[in-house]
Amino acid sequence: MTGFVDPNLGAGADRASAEVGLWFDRHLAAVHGYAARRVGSDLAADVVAETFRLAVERFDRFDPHQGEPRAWLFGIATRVLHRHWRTEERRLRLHARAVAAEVAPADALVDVDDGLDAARRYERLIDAVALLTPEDRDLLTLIAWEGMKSADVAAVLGIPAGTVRSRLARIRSHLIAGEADNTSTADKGVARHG
Amino acid sequence: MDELDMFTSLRPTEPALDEAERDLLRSRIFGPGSTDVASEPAVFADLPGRPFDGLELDLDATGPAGHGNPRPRRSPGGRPRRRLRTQRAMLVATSALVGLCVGGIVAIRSGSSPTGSEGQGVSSASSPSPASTLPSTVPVPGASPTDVPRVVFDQPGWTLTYASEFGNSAAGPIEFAEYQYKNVDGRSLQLRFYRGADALATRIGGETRTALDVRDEEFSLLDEGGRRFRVNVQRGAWAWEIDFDGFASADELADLIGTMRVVDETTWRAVLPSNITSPDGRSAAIAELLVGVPLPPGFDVAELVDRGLTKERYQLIAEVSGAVACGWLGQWFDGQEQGDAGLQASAAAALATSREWPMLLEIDDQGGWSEVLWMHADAVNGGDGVMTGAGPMPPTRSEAESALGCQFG
Repeated sequence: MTGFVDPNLGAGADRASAEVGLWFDRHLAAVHGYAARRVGSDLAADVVAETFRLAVERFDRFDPHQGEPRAWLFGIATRVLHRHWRTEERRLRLHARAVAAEVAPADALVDVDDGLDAARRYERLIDAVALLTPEDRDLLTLIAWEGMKSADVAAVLGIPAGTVRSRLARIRSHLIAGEADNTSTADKGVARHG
Repeated sequence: MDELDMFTSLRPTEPALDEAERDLLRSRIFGPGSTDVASEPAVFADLPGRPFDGLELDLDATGPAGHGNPRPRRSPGGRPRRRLRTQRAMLVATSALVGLCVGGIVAIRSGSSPTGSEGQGVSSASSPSPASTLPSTVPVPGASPTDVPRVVFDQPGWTLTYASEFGNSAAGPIEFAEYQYKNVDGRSLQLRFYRGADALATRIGGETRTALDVRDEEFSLLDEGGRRFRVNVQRGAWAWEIDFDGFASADELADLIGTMRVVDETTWRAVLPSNITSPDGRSAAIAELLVGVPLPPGFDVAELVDRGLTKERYQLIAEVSGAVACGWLGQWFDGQEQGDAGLQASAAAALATSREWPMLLEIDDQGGWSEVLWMHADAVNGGDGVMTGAGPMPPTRSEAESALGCQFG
C-alpha cells in the first residue's frame, strides 16, 4: 500500500520532504497513537507511512492559515483510516468485549447482574458506534480518544467548529438511542455488519 | 457514566513506538530501507539552504582508483549474523537517512555518552569569563568555523552530551550545529544553530506560536504539549532553535534561557566533556582511529582533520570510518563501471577488513553505524543487498550516498 515519497515530485519535493521530515519527528507519536487506537499497531504502521507519504506529495496544499501541521496530518490519517473501517469495527468489538469482561464481577454471587448489565451496555454502545457514518466516527474518536477540542477537530476534519459541536450532539443522541435498544447486540452486530 | 464517557473509557492503550519501529517507518516514508521498496531512491538530497534536523557534515572521501587484488572474499563473520544484523542495521541505516542533507549525514546512535565522561559539566561554575548573557549577545558573524555561538549555563546540573557540526563543504564554515544537553534532574534540551541572517524564517511557519520575553528580548515559543517546548530566535548570523524536554512551563525554560551565556572558543573547549572532540583535538583523535585501517589511494587525512569540527566521539567515528569506506566504495563502483574486476577486488578486500576496525567495534553496541557500514562491505563481497537484506545484491552508489553519506561527485 505504501511506497516511498515519489522522487519525481519536482522542485518542491526537497522542501516538502524536509518539512514533513520535521513533522515526522514531532508528530509521529501522536499520529501513530491515533491510528493504532483505531486499527491496531500493525496496521497503524501502514497508515502512518501512507499518511506522511501523502503529506509530502500534497505538501503544496498545506495552508498554515487553516490549521497546524498536526491537524493536517491527522486529517490525512483520518482519510487513510477510512480504508480500514472493517478492521476498525472488528477491533472495536473485540476491545469492547474485553472491557466488558473486565467489568464483569469477580464475585458472581454478589454483583452478577451489575456485571452483565455493564457488559451489555458496552456491547450496545459498540453496536451504536458501528452504525455511525465514518465522518461521525472520526469525530467521536478524535474527541473521546484523542482528547481534541471542537476547534482541533474542526481543523482535522475541515469543517467549522460549530458543525463539530452539532455533530457531537447528534452522535450522543444516537449512542443513547442505541443503548436504549434492548435487542441482542450480538445478533444485531452479525445482522448489520457481518 | 454517559455514553460518551463509556466510549472514552474504551480508549485502547497502544504501546508507543520504539526507536527501531520509528526508524523503520522513517525509511518506509522517506527512503530506502525496507525490502519491498528498496529499488526506489530516497528524496533526501541537496536541500538548498534548508538544513535539516540532525544532519552532519559532508563525507567527501571518494578515492581514486587503485590496483587489482585477488578475488573478493567474504568478510569474516558475515553470514551467521546476517538476518538479525540486516534487520537491525536496516532500521538504523534508514534512521540515518532522515538526517541526510547537502550530502551530509548524521549517524544515529543509541544510549548516551559511550565514555561515561560526562563529568565535566558545561555549567558556568566552570566557565569563567569572557562571557555574556545570551539575550544581549550577538555572536560575530563570519566565515570562521568557530563563529558558531558557544553556550554555557549558569544553572547547575547541565552537561553537554552530544555535539555535531557540519559545513556545506569540507573547507567551508559551519552551517549547522547541534548540541544536546542533559540535566541530572532528567530535563534535556537540544540547541541548534542555522547559519543565515534570515534563517529564522525557515524554521517557523504553520504553527501557533506565542512570544516569550526573556530580558527584553522576544523569543518565538511553541508549546508542543507533554512538557515539550521549542524556542526560536534570530541572533545575528545565526538562527537559534532550542527544543526543551521535561520543562513544566514556559517560565521554567525562560529561567534557563536567562542563564545561558555565550562564551569564547577557548572557554568552550575547556569545558567540553572528554567524549567531545574539539577541532584542536581532531588530528590526534583521527590518527588514533585510523590505526590499522587500510586507506584508499589518494585518501587525504589532512583534509579530514582540517574540517575543524567539534564532534562527539560516536559521530567522529562515523565521520572518519565513513570517509574511508566511501573512498573504497567509490573505487569499487569505478571498477564496476569500467569493467575492472581488479579495481573492485582490491576495494572489496579493503572493505572486508572493516569488521576488524577498532573504531567500528568500539561503537558497534551504541548505534547502527557500524552495522550499516558492514552491510556495504558485505554487499561488495558477494553478500546480501544493502537495502534488500536478502540474496546477493551489489550495492549502488545511491545506496552508499544515502546510507553512508558518500559523495561520489
